[in-house]
Amino acid sequence: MRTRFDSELETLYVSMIKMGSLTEDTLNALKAALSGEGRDRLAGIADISRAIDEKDREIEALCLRLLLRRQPVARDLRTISSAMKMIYDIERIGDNAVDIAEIIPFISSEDLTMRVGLDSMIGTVIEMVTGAIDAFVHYDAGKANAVIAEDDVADRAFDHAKQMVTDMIRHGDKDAQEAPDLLMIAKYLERMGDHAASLARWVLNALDVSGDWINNPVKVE
Amino acid sequence: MTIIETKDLDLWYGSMQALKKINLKMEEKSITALIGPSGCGKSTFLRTLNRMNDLVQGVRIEGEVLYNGENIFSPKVDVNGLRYEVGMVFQKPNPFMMSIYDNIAYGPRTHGIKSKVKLDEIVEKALVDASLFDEVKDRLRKSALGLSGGQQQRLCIARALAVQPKVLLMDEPTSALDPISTAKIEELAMSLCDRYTIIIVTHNMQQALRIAHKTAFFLLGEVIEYDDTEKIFSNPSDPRTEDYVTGRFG
Ligand SMILES: Nc1ncnc2c1ncn2[C@@H]1O[C@H](COP(=O)(O)OP(=O)(O)OP(=O)(O)O)[C@@H](O)[C@H]1O
Ligand SMILES: [Mg+2]
Repeated sequence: MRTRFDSELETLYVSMIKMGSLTEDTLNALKAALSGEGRDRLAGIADISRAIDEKDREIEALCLRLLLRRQPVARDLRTISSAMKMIYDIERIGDNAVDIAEIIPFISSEDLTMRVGLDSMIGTVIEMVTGAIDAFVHYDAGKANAVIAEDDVADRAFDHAKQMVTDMIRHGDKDAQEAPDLLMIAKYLERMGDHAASLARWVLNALDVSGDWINNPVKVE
Repeated sequence: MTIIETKDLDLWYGSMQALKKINLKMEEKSITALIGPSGCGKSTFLRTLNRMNDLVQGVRIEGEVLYNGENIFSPKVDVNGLRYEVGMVFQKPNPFMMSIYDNIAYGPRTHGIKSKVKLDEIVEKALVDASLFDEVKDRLRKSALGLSGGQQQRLCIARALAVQPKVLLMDEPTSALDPISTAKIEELAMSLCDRYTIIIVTHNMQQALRIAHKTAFFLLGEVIEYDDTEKIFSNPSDPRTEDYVTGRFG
């Protein structure tokens, strides 16, 4: 039997997808800027970030209303409580995007961001975020696990960026004064990867991969 | 400790099998909820536990019900004695047409207790235990039928408690009550369960969640899942349980 509650959950999924796609918009704008395709979309990021915050509040209100009125149990309870945690991570990713957008104007050339590997790093983050939202909407544990595994790729990319930046400074590279900014961008990207992995862990929570959700939820760092 | 255990319990009404191979162990001094769609056999199961089905024409039972390790169907079991130990509270409050006092004294009197002092003591204690004493202490000699529905239900609980049972079977005891009376019965059940074992049939999932330690899900005469209440309502093992508790059944 399909219930009215099912269509309310549908609304939740649609809102989560919408919030995810807004986040992807900001990430794609960053990707363009970091890979030399142009910085013109950076200016829009602050606006999108505000839209993400709005979605965050809207989804939180929807979840609270569902908890109050539907008193969900079992899978419904797991889904809604995970959604409430996920919107926090998505919102943080949006904030990190704004942080990065504020630093990019101080970088003189895309050659530098590409040399440090930031262009491919943001590609990884985009894949992770998209994958996590997809996994949530389709109850796909395999996809969620793939996202968690990809966090290692993001971590290694950060180590690589750090190494490149260290080398720039050590060799007295002419662009060495931009090294701190490059490192900060890399760090924000690495944080985004962590939040995306955390998104995927909330999905596993909704799916109850532990088999004892209430006493033993999946650990989310 | 297990107080009641059923082993491969089958029950037929004529040719219709209403219970199929029920294996449940119920913990002493805890609350067990029985949930499931209408007609799945919850009341039948409950009535079997103190042999109330003996009275029904055409009932055939196989398997065992062990009460404190002893099969209640064994010929040496005294059915009346069993019903004193395993009492029943019904869906609709059913006070006798007599005074509040006499309703409660009825059981102990048939037990042979005649002393007025002793009966007074039993009546007061049962009313206190059923959280009804303060509301009725000035009208003990008045008819029980003058009580509100919620008070009548607590009176029936007091009446059941007066014979000092070990187990209380409750069949949808709050389904005819308003939310406040319901809350009182739930509070009462929770306060009694450190001294009594309570087995309650309910159609109210939130009620099971609020008060029961363990929950059994019945479907078509079978127990599909029996586990800690939190497990049943957070991550049940069987998809049929999940469908039922989330309201997507059928
Ligand atoms: N005295 C009886 N004679 C014949 N069949 C009966 C009798 N009592 C119950 N049944 C049948 O046994 C099955 C189980 O009934 P039971 O009353 O135990 O269900 P239940 O789970 O308590 O339902 P509800 O939630 O509606 O109270 C039903 O099919 C019912 O029609
Ligand atoms: Mg019934």
